[in-house]
Parts: sequence; C-alpha cells; structure tokens
Amino acid sequence: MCAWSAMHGEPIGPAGPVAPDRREWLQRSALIVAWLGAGLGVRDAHASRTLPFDATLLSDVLRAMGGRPTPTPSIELDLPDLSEDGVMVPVAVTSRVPGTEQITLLAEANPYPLVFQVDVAPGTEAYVSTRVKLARSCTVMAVVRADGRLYSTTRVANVTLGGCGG
Amino acid sequence: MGDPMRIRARVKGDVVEAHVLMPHPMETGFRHDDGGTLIEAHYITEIRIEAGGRPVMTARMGIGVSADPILTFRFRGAAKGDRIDVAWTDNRGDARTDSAIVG
Repeated sequence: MCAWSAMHGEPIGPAGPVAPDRREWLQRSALIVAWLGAGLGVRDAHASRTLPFDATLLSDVLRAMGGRPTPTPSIELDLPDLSEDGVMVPVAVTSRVPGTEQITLLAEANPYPLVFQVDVAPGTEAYVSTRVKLARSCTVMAVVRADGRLYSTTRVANVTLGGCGG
Repeated sequence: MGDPMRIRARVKGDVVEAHVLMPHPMETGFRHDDGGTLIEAHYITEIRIEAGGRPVMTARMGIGVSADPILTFRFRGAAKGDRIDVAWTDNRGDARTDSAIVG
C-alpha cells in the first residue's frame, strides 16, 4: 500500500466510542483505500507505468524493469552500422521469443538511455519499427519481456554526428 | 492538438501492416534557439493504437524518439474496412486522436 492510502486509511478523530454512521463510513473508506492500494500494487508489478524515462544510466533502467536480461539470438535488432546523423536513425526490432509481450529500446550513451517501450497486444506481431536519436556511437539494446522474463540483444551503432544536443 | 497524423494500414495476407506518422517536435529540452535560449522539452509520452475497438499496441516514449515519430507494426484479427484509431498524449498534456480505414 502506498504512503498516500496508508495515510488516508488511518482513522483520524477523537478517541473513544465512534458514532455508528461514522464507524460505517470509516469501514467503507478503509475498504476503498485497501482496494485502491491493491490496484496500485498491481500496477507497480507491471513496472511499465513507472518506467524511468529520466534515468541517466542504462543499468538503472534495467533495474527498474526487473533486472538484467538474458542475452538471446532470438531478437533481431536492425539499425545501420554507421549513421551520418544521429538525429534520425531507423531502428526495427523483431522478436522470435515465444510469448513476447513487450519490446523496449535502450541507447547507452543517450542522456536518457530509455528510448521507447511498446506493449504488444495478443494478435500483434512482436515487431516494431521507428526512428530514434542517438547522442553518439554507443551500444543499443533491445529488451523483450516474455512470460515475465527479460531477454536482450545488443548492437553497436556508430554515429558521425550526435542527435541529442544541437 | 498538433497536425493530423498520417495513418496507412493495408491487409497483406492474413496480417495488417500499419504505418503511422505523428507530426510532433519531440523537443529534447537540450537544444537552444538562435537567441541562445533553451527550448523547453516537448515530446509524445504515450501512443495507444486500437483496431476495431481492440488494443493493438501501446507505446511509451521519451525524448529519444526522432521528431515526427513514425511507427510501423503488424497485427492480425482485422480486415479491410475496419477502423484503426491512434491516440497520442504528450508531456504538456496535449493529445490527439486520428483514425483510418484498413485498406
């Protein structure tokens, strides 16, 4: 339960017997607070909603996602070996990991390494393609979540001109 | 509100391949204008895609996605004539939804 609901769950009031209607109200609000807390807990377990898009270290992002992923050849990470301009680098990720539910892209040297994350709904192919900014040459990592486990593949991207400052 | 998105979704065999282009500055907050003033960060944070009312993909992003983001993805379970809805929200609370028909 979060601090907010714990705070609001505390029956605050004068000591001594509590009027029946007030007791009922307290019980009801305690129930609501417990339910809210449970909801928040479920969301936290997902980790995706609390993703640190402002984390400056790749390792911090991985920690927030639930730990170090297992390297696998079953993820294809397509991006140019050499990009003249880091402002617009085409990236495509294809996962052949069974049960892929989420794809995350990280660029180690970016001011904020977490670039994007997509949730793949049932029926959607474990594939996404977009264009990203790379601050300079660095390791790019694709992380796949499947059946609650993390898998990754990395590529080194060479950038002639960085794409985050300007 | 932003400019209208460009959405193209076509049936290819038993999958639909979709391309979405969302006009948006995706400002990093690290750039300066000609006068040397820092340009405030302004970027899309979330994109939700549905086809025929069913979720297809949700994307969350930071400043690392290029200006005018494009997304290409493929999904099953939709046919010609179905509607695809794309909605984005940005860090300033601005939002936009556009739709297209699967062709």
